[in-house]
Amino acid sequence: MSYGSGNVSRYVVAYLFAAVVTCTLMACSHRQAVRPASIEATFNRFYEFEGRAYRGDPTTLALASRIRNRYRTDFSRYQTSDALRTVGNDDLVLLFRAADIAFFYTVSPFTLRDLQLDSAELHRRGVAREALDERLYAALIESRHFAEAQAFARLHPSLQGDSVARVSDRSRAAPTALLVRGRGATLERRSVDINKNRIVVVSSPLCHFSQHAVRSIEADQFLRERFRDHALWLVPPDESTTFSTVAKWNQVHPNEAMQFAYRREEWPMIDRWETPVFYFFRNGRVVAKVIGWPAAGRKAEIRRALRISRLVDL
Amino acid sequence: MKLGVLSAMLGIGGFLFTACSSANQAGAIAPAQAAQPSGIIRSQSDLQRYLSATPDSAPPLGLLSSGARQRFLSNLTFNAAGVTGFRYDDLQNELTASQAYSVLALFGFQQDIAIIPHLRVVTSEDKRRISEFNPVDGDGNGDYPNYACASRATCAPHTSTICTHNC
Repeated sequence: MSYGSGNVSRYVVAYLFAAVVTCTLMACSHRQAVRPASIEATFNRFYEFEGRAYRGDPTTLALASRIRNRYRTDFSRYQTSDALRTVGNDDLVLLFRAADIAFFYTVSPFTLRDLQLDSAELHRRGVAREALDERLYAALIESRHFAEAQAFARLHPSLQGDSVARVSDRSRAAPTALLVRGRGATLERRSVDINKNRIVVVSSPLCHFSQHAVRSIEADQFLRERFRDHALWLVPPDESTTFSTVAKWNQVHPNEAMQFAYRREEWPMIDRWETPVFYFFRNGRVVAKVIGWPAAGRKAEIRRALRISRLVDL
Repeated sequence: MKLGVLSAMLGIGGFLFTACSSANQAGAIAPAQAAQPSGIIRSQSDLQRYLSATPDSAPPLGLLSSGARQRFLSNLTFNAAGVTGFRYDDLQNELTASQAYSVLALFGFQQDIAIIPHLRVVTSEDKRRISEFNPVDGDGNGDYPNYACASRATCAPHTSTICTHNC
């Protein structure tokens, strides 16, 4: 009897122990459960790759090429209407984010198409987010698909981005720039003559160092006059600098009024879309380049570049 | 004896349960954020000191999931003046405006919540934080979103990154 009672006790003890451990492990595994990792893992690798690629060579063209190839390899298989229907909501957002990263560097039609596919699927499921709609709208503007952007904005009236009322095209040949009229709702595309605009400054009203360069040049009569006569202040097409921001800048700085590059590929002579970078041209070719504007300025380098480009006497 | 065995086994189970619970708190969103002095991290060595003295789960960095926290920290860049750049996509995806404010305050860049697009606004505190720094002239504060510090005083296009005026 006592032998049987001992067995029962051992069974009870063992059962309780097993129950506690099992419940604990189940609770742990439930709390730490992650959804199937393939798309997330692929996204994380792509995200790390983008960071490494940038640190390796931040010049825009080289980076775009590497990101384009990697994105195609990693994500093409997911970016079809049929494949998208099979992925979970969180993974769908990650696919949108991957396409958005690839678009950022490449501004390519196929990444824009992927963004549109992902967005359509998010809306079909009723899980679209305003922030992602804003990204797609900005991508349409950056791709200069103004009519599509306007149609998208009409479907999503809560969008906060630039509203574009009217775009006219007076361009005859590349390269072209986009002039901002009024408060930013009216845009005009025009050809740029590099023989007239012999200094092209890649710059932005949002960039601290561009702002600082403008202040230094405005305060220097010699440079102010050379830049007034020869410089084009060119804003890279990006998702940050709005038309209204440039319109406000231009009101305050009429001598350093900025225009947007219409498309980067029209400006093959611009190999770095960093800000600020000063390109000096002679006979249509870049003959000098000055990069950045630290607190001490780069006036000596600018004067040297002016001489090289024959914009001042040697 | 049997009671001893039973206690020991239940004790082990209880220990496992406790360990599991505390391990999971790292991913939880803390309801309140401890006040932090602004700009206490100005270099990689400041960051290492801060991380070794602070539990992973402690706010404000503990408000991020572990993956996001790691991505945010590994993308910070510094020079002698302080932070020259940081990525904001994980702040955007996981935090409210006031939580992002607390994270950026560690580095003295809390004003940049005004230029991070689409930060979540849930409470009146979020609204207050955003409006506190909202640039009225449209030119921003000189910290440039979607750009990173490429070289001295030069910002290069880099998605969801801010090139700060320390660059």
